[in-house]
Amino acid sequence: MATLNIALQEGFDGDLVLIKVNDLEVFRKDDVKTKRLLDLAEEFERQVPDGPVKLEVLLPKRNLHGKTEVQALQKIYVGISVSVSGPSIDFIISQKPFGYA
Amino acid sequence: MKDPNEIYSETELTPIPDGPIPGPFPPFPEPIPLPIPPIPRIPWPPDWWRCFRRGPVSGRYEGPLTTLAKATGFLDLRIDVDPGYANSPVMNRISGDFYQLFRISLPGIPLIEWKTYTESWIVDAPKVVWSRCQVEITGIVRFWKGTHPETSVRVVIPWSTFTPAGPAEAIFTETGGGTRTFSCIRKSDSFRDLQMEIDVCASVNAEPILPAYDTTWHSTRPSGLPQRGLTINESYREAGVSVTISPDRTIIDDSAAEFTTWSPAELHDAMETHFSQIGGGWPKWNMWGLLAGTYEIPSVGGIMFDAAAAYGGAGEAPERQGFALFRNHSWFNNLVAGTPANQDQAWAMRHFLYTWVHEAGHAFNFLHSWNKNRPDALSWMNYDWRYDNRNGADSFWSSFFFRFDDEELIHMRHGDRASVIMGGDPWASGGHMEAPSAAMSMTEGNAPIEFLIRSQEYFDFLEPVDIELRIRNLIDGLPLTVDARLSPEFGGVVVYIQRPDGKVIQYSPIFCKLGIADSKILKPKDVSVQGEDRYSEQVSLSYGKFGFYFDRPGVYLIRAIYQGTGDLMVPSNVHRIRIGHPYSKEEDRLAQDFFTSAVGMNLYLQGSRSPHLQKGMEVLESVADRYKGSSVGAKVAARISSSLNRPFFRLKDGTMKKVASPDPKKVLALTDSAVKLFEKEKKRSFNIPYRKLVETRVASRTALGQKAEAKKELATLRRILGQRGANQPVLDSIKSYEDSL
Repeated sequence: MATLNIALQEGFDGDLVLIKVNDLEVFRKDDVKTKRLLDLAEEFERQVPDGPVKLEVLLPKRNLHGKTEVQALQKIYVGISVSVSGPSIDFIISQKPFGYA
Repeated sequence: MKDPNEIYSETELTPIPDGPIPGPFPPFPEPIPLPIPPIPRIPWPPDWWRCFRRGPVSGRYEGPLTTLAKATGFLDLRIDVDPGYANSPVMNRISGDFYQLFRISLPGIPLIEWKTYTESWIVDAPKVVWSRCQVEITGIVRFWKGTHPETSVRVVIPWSTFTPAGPAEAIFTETGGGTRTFSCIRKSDSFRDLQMEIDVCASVNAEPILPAYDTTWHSTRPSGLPQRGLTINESYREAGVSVTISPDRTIIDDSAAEFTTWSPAELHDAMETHFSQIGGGWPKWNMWGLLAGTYEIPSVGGIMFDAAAAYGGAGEAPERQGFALFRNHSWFNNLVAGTPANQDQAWAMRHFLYTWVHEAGHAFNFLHSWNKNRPDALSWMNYDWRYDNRNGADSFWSSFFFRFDDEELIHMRHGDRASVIMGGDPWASGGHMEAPSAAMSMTEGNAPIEFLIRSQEYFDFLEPVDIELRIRNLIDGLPLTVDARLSPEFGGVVVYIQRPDGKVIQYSPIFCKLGIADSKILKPKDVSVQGEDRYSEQVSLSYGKFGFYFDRPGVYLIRAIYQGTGDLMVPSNVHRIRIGHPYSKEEDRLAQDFFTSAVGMNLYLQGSRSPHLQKGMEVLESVADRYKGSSVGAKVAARISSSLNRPFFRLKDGTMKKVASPDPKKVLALTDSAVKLFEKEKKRSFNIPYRKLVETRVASRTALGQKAEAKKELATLRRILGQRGANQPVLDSIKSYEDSL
C-alpha cells in the first residue's frame, strides 16, 4: 500500500469539496477555505494500492471537476488548487512534502 | 565662453544629471567642439579629495519644519538613490512620513514627547542631479491617501570632505504657492529601524536558535551569487531595514504532557504573555518571534499567526506583531549549529534562514508572491516548490539571490507607513484608498494615553454595530485627567470608517452636543488596581447623519482619533469588522424595511415613542421578536427597550402632554431572550451591552416593585462578568448598585 498525502491549497473559498480515489469517495467537506497565511485549506492522508491511481476532485457548487492520475509508490504528495483563470482545478504531484510558511 | 581662470560651479561639474557620481575633475566634452575651447583651469595643488563623501547618500533623515517659528511639523525622509549597503539594490525612490510633534511638561516627571503620524508620500520617479558636494533630488509627490493639491519636492543634500551626507533640506511646494521646508539630519543608512524580540520553547531550546548561513554552503545556487554570511539581521539589512534582535530570550515552558502542538490562538496568547513590548501604544516597529515545537498542522514550518482568523491567524487586532517557527518540522531535521558537514545540513540551515525571513516578511504585510500575481518572483516570499513546479526542479534555489523582489523592497522601504508598520493596517488589507486627512494618523513615541477600539469581529447582517472605545493612562506614577466624553457627538472623538468598497468616510453623528468636559482621573498604570487606569464607553455607529454606515456585507476598517482636552491627539488602532450576508431571501427583503431613516433614528435614539418614528419602532420590535435567539434580536431589543422605561411627552396645543406611560412589563418581555443570550454567550464584546441591558431591566423591575428579582439579575451579572475577567472596579460598582436597591 502507498500513502497519498492530499493538500487542498490555493483558491478554495467556502467550497464543498469531494475527492474520489479510483471512483471511491475518500473526502467530502463543505465550507473549505484556503488560509491565505499558509496557502493551505486542508491536508489529509489516505492509503491507496501501489501503482496508478485515478484521482478526481469535484466542487459541485462551482460546477468544477478535475482529475489526474498518480503513480502511487510509498508516499506521494498531491497539491490541489483552484485556479482563478478558467477557473480550473490544478494538481501538483511531488515525491517531497510541500511545507508551508 | 567661460574664462578658463573662473572657478567652476558645482553643477557645472555634473554634465550627466542622472549619471554616476562624477570624479573630481571636469569631464572631457564629447564630441570635441571646434574651435577647441580653452583648457579649463586645473586646480593646483590638486583637490580631488575635496567633498570626498564618507558613506552613501541613501538612508533615513529626519527633522522639523523650519518654515514657521512655532511649527510642530516633522518629517521622516527616506532617500534611495545610490547603493547604501553591499547587496542592497537601489530602488530609485524617495519617500517620507509627516508627523506633528506634541510635548507635555509636568512638574516632577520627565518631558513627555510623542509624534502623531499624519500621512506618507512617495516620489516614484525622482530626478537626481549629482554635484561634487551635493545632490539635488526633485520630483512629484504622490500621497498614499487623501486629496492634495499637486505637490513637488526638492531635496538638497550636501556633504563636506570626508563627512557623511546631510543634513537634507526638503522643500515641498504646492500648486498655488504653499511651501514647507524641513531640515533633516541623517539618522541611518537604513530606511526603517526595527526591534525584534525572540523567545524559545524549552522543548527546542538548543542551538542553533537563530540562522546563520553562508551563501556558498549549498551547491544549488545561482552562478553569480555573492558569497556572504546571512542572518536575519543581515538579510533585512540588505533589504534596507536595520533589525536589532534583543539579546534576552524568555524560555517558555511547553512541557505539559497533553500539550503537543500550537494553535494560532495559543501562539497569540504566548505573545501576549511573553512579548515585553505588547503593552503601550501600537503600531510600532517591534516584532516578536517564537521558536516553538510543532504547529497544529505538522506540514507548517512557520506562521505569522497575528492576522484575521479567516486567513488562518489568531484573529486579534492589532495584527502583524508576531510570528513563530516550528523546529520539529521535517525541514529542520538536519539542522546543526556552525558549518554544515554535508548538503543536507546546508539545506536545513538555508531553509531555517528562509523561514525566519519569510515569516518576518509577513509581519511587514507581505503576502505570498503568487497572491500578488508574481508567481515567478525570486523572493523570500515565494515557496520554492511552487516556483519549481512552474519553472523546473531546483530552479528556485538555482536562481534565488536571497532577496525580496523590487515591489516588496519598495513597499518595505517606501510604502505607506500604516501598511508596513507592525500593528498598523491589518494583514493583507490594502489601506491605500482615498481618505479624509487625519483618517490614518498614528502615534509614535510615548503618547500619554492609549486609545483602543474593540468589538466583536463579526456582526450579523442587520445587527447594530456598537464598538467599545477605551482610553488608558500609560504614564507611570502620574494620574491623568481626561475628558471622558468618548461619543463622537461631543466632538472630542472622530471616527473613520473604511467601507468594503475601499472608500473612507467620517462618521457623523445626528446630534452635536456642547458642554463642559466630563473630567475623569485615570490612575497611573503602575500603581492602580487593574481597571482604574482606564475608561471605556460603548459607542453606536450604525446610524448617523448620512444614514446607515454598515448596510452592506463585507469587511470594514474603523479607527478613531481622540482629541481630548488641550493640545492632544491620539489615534486608535485600526479595527476590522465583518458584516455578514443575509441568511435568507426573507432577511434580504427585510433590509428594505430596516434600512430606513425611521429605523435608523430609533436605533440612534435608543427607541422613540414619537408617532413620527412609530413605524421604525414597529420594525425594530418585529426584528427583536423574529431574531430573539440571535445577537441581532438581542442587540435590537436591548437598544430600544430603555425608551419604554420612560414616559413620553409631546407638545400639544402649546403645552407638553404625556402621550405614553412607562411600560416596564413590556421592557422585561422584550428583553427576556436578550438577557439570556448575553448570559450564555461568553463573548467579551457582550460585556458592556449585557451590563447596560441589566441596568435597564433593573429599572423596570424596580418600577414594578420586584426588588428581589432586580438584585438577583445584578448578582448574576456580577458573577458572569467576573467569570469573563471583568476588572474589579466594574464588579464593585455593580455590587454597590445591588446593595443600594
